[in-house]
Amino acid sequence: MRLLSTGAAGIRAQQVALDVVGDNMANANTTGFKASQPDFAEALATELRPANVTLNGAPVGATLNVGAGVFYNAIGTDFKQGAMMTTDRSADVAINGSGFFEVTTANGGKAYTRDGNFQVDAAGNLCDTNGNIVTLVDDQGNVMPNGNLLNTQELEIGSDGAVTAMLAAQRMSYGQIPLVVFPNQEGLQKMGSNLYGISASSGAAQFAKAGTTGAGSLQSKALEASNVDLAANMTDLIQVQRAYQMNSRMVSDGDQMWGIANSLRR
Amino acid sequence: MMRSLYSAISGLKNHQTKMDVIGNNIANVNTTGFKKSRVTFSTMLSQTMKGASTPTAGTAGGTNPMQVGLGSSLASIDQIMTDGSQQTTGNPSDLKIAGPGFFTLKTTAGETVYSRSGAFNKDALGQLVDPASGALVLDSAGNTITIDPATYGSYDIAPTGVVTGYKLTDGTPVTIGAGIQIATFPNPAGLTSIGGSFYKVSNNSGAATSYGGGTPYPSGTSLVTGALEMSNVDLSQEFTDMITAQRGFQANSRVITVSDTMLQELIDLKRN
Repeated sequence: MRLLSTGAAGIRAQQVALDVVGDNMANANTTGFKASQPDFAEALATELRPANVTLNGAPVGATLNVGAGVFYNAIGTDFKQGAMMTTDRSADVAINGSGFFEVTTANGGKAYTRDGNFQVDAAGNLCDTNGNIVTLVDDQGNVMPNGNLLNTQELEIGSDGAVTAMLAAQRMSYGQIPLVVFPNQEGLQKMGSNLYGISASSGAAQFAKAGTTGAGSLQSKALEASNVDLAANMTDLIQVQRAYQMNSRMVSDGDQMWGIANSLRR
Repeated sequence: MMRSLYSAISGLKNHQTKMDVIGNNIANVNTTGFKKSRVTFSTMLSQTMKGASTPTAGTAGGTNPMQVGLGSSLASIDQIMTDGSQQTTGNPSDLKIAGPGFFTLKTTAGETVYSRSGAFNKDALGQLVDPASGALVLDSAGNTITIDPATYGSYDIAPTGVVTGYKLTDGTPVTIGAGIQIATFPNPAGLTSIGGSFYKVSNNSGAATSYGGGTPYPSGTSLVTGALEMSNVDLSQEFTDMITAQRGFQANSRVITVSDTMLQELIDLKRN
């Protein structure tokens, strides 16, 4: 009886789809969040009759296959631009385009994020909400040392990523926030806390100046809203629920048919 | 059990916190010197169902990782330290700081605290105090400011923080104390809010730098007398955030009910 396992495969796949929809909705208000999208594929079919057999001397055409259900194939990330939410905070910055910010985590590794909710900490580092230090570069594109912003006031971030702040009553330049692009950004690994990491298929990070082609520009005093579309996700939720229901109906129908077969002989 | 249930619970909890912060902001819409907070969320860890693979030129394309996220978590509750607008009161002991900086006060427990609220008063001894808590306003030398009512008939406070008393006898102006202290911090948003409109130094605010008296206030900072700083809460922003929080909460609760229905469906698979 293939029906049971086909139904079970459907249940499993729809459950993953629900998990993805649930995660999207939980992150409907997460800064810089990019929605995920499940992708299903059909499972290998069983060949009941090969092609080109003859029946009573006459050739019979096509192959006769019975599919074995569905399995989840990939979970893609939709990197569509999120809406700009203006805030009053001068250390907030949003990317309008396809780049990422680079941060150095506590263990020294590099991570990438779209969440521009930054702050200047007590040691003078520009860092994100988890204390990961944001990479700044000078005019030549060399990475600048940490802690430059110590004791500065009134941080400003320009649309080209230029960081300026007041020190001893003078507005000084503290380098630029570079944007990072990848050959295949869909291949980035999600690391939690709004961070992405490089994976085998993402390719290496490439620095680009904000405002140049491909990387996008920066908007200060703004944050990028989550790109989760609640209407689309609510529709997905209905679809997933109904598909799940139908698959489970197949399992119970299969069960019933098995019951009938078992009770043929009293 | 289903991941979606727990994703949705994390979403519910975070939206609840967002609502709590919005509630506090709106409750303080008319609190002198209040600085609003805002909540940001971040993603939780993702469960990797399949890792990424490296492409080989001409032979095989790389595949992307397949990951299911496990919900959202609180990223930060930031204090937004922008200036509030000025409210003119005409009361000579009301002070507003134009620009960055904080008043320095000493609480009755002897602790040094910082505040943007300058609704001060003179007490019976002539000391400049925060009337709500009895905390004493400090000058740039770290001493309290006493305008002795037995000596001075009136006083004024200059934009530079210098307090001048006018003698009862002949009206001679006398400088009292070392000028009202204003403290700045490397990271003012890192201060810990302790209630009563007071802030305390934290590990991430950095140490206070004091100005006033011999050290003039930093450029861009001055005192306005006879005025108070209003709360920087923007109601239109808060109400918009409230809608976002409510709708986000609602969507997450729907994920829970649907997950529940689906689990019921599973249980119903097996007839007795």
